[in-house]
Amino acid sequence: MSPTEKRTCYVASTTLLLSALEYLIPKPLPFLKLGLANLPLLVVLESFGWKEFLVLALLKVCGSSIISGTLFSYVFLLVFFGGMASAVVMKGVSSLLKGHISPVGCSVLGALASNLIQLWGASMLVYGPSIWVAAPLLLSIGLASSVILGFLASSYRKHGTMLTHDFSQGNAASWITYPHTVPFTLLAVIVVLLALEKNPLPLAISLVALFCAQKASGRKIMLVPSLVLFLSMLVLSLFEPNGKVLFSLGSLTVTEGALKDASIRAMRLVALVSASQSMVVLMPRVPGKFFSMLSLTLGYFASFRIHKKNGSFVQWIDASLSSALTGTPKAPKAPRIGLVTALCVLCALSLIVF
Amino acid sequence: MPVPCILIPVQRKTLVADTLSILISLTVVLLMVRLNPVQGGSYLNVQGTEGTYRYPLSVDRTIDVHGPLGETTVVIKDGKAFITDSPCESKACTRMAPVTKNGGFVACLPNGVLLSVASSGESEVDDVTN
Repeated sequence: MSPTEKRTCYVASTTLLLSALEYLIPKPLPFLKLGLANLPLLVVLESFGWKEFLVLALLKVCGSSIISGTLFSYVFLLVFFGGMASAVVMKGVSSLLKGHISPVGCSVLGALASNLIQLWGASMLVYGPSIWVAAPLLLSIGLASSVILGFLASSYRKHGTMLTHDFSQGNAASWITYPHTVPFTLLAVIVVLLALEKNPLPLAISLVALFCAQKASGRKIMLVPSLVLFLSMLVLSLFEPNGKVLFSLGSLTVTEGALKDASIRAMRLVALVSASQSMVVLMPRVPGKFFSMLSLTLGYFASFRIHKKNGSFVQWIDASLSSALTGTPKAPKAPRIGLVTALCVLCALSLIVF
Repeated sequence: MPVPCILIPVQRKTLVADTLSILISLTVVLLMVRLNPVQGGSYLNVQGTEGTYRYPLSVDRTIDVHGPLGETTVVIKDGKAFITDSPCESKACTRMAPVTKNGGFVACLPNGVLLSVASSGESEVDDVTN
């Protein structure tokens, strides 16, 4: 791999670090994002060419979906189109208005593009039109955070050293996976079955089975994001009354149909994400340049260690960031394949039988 | 005294494009507030003897409402709601002017079914049943 490609992977791994950080911040809506992970993109906006920049954006999108485990669910589509749209807009305005726009302007327009695409996608795939109720809130938060990120990026550009490392040497640390075709294929079938399933009972059974499979494949189960998703869907369903009125709160009506729809949609999505979590651990290795770059990006990500604070803030960040170049990646927990496979069979059966 | 650059990274050269970007973004936010597709939507209220049902007028569908005489068939089509069939004798309800987002009501009194419109943000429809 060439030093330029290694550099792209390294910058991509810092975006993963920031999206992991972003994941820890609790939010009322699952895709309400501050966009922290865009910071490195803003920093390299002018020093990277078009091709390098788009590969970086692609690595960011795929890498963060592997870490959050959503790669094989339709959440990935939202992240993918939002992330790529914002990358194209940021790079586009920056090369169009060469020198006449700062990272602040690029960041604001990039966030706008990403948020609009994600809202549209979420209204088509997940929530239905009621998500537009939240649009002003999401877009305002996006605007405020993108202004701040733009300022941070221009400050880092002046003082940071992220891009000055020597990427020609050093052994590239690759990412560790446990490829297993049988449970992976089973899970892929389950994902399709889940997307078609309309009844709450089999969805609930598969949800439990998939949570167990996720645990058995060595990934943590995060209940809070699932609950947030569930609640956000229930709240937004209030804006789409449908069916028997159960009770009214002022002008909002809680209807049986909307409640049922929202629970089914939420269960389906939580189950899909859980299936995807196991698939990420078991995914087979794909030949090709992009996959090896992705693997190196995740390898760097797993090698980051936080250093003791020493000197200025930017120096401390840089010292911690450079640790990835010399460290060894932390190996993820090995999955219990037999148990995972058994749970997948159980889940697939419940989806087929009911 | 030199000012830390994080406080004023704004340069005159980029000021125009940056301000413009922020203004575009603000305009979109304001547009979203004004053109909210969900707010101001109208709903069909269906009162039957077994409870009240509510559906958006914007989605076409057929609903069967159970009453003392049997099933009354309500259809929502192109933003209009009407009764197509009811187990009453006169079938007068099937000939009434449909309910639209502007108002109106359709009733099949023998089977205890009443269609009326409810806009979001407005107070509840008055009780007419029994």
